[in-house]
Amino acid sequence: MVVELEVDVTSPTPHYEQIRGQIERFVLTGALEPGMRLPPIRQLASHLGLSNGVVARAYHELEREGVVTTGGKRGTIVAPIIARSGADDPRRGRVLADAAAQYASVAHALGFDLEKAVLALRGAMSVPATPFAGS
Amino acid sequence: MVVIVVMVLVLAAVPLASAPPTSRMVAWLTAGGQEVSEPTLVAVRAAGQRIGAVSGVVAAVLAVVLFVADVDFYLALVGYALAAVVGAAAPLGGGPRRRAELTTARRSGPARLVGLGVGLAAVTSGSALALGVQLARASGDRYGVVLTSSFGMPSVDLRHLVIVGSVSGGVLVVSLLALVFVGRRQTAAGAAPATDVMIRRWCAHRVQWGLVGAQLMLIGALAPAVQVLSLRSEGSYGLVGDQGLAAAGSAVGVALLAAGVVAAAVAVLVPVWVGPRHRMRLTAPRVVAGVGGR
Repeated sequence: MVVELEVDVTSPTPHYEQIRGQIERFVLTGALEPGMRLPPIRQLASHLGLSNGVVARAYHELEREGVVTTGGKRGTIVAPIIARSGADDPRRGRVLADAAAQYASVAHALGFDLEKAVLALRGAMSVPATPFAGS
Repeated sequence: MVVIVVMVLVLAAVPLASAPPTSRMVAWLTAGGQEVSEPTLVAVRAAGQRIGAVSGVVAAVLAVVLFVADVDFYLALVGYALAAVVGAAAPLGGGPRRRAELTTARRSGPARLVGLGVGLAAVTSGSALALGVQLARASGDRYGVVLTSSFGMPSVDLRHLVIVGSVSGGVLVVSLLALVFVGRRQTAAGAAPATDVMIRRWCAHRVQWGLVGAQLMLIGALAPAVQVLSLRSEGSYGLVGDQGLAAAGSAVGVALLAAGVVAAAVAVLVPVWVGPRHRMRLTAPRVVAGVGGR
């Protein structure tokens, strides 16, 4: 599976925060499995065209939150403990809130009110395989 | 004759300095298991144009310099390979949305070719130095000793040996720097990370084969100098070498030059201009996070 990171340099959200948030989401949703090795700071920074400090800060924040561990030559590894955390984990709630905010902005842009949006969400959650059709 | 030379120059310049045709790009992307969408094609085409433009500029600058300096023809061939190498290291990034792959740390290509290039460079530079010392020793008090070669190969003197040795070292350094840059440069503008990996491999292939081609050409230009090993004094001022060895060295040199030209052509043409036929492959599912943060 290919997991892609995207940073919008025009966004008001700090670059390190965009990286941190996306990696946290990937880990919590299982796209990045425990034990997976993240790219070295220098490689990720150069591929994104950002300074090493930005990626280093994102990794540092993730390590502080227990999402990843760093250990010398092993590099930065996805921590095993976070995968076992439950739905009451505040990090999961935060990721869900982010996703909800994005969903809400799409619903607003399409001209749907809260009721229609909730209805679509109910439909999507009861039948996960059915893609959201916008009505 | 002039028409043939012009045609050869045009044929060599087109794939070096221009982007491959769209149909070839589609075939290359498909063979690599990529989804060929319009944004992907636009991104790859832009990368190809940037690589070709930089190669073309480097080739033009080198052509003027070499013409003004009135150097031997083999250096023009080396310049072609060098232009392919430098063009592959052109910066391709840009745009407000930067993407990178998080999962796989893929290497940019086989290390064996780089090893071969480094080995050839070591042999070329070392041999140029050793033959230069030997020539200086055999020349003694004689000034400006020049040894002739066969099959149109350049004549051998101390200047020739110094040029071959130093150009070989220079090409090696430029190629290694280009490889490092290709591995670390920003993701190509508009390209998905998986496509960017393909572009990096393409560029690394170009650098590796360009390095090997240039070193083969240089060692070929050096081959006629093996006659230095057979030099002996004859009379007070005369210096005589083995003609058979000179001819054999020149023949080997021509063969190595030809091999170098083939390697340079592989660097420029493969895998996009000349590549594998259409091959269907399943595409790995992609996971992309929305931009935002907390």
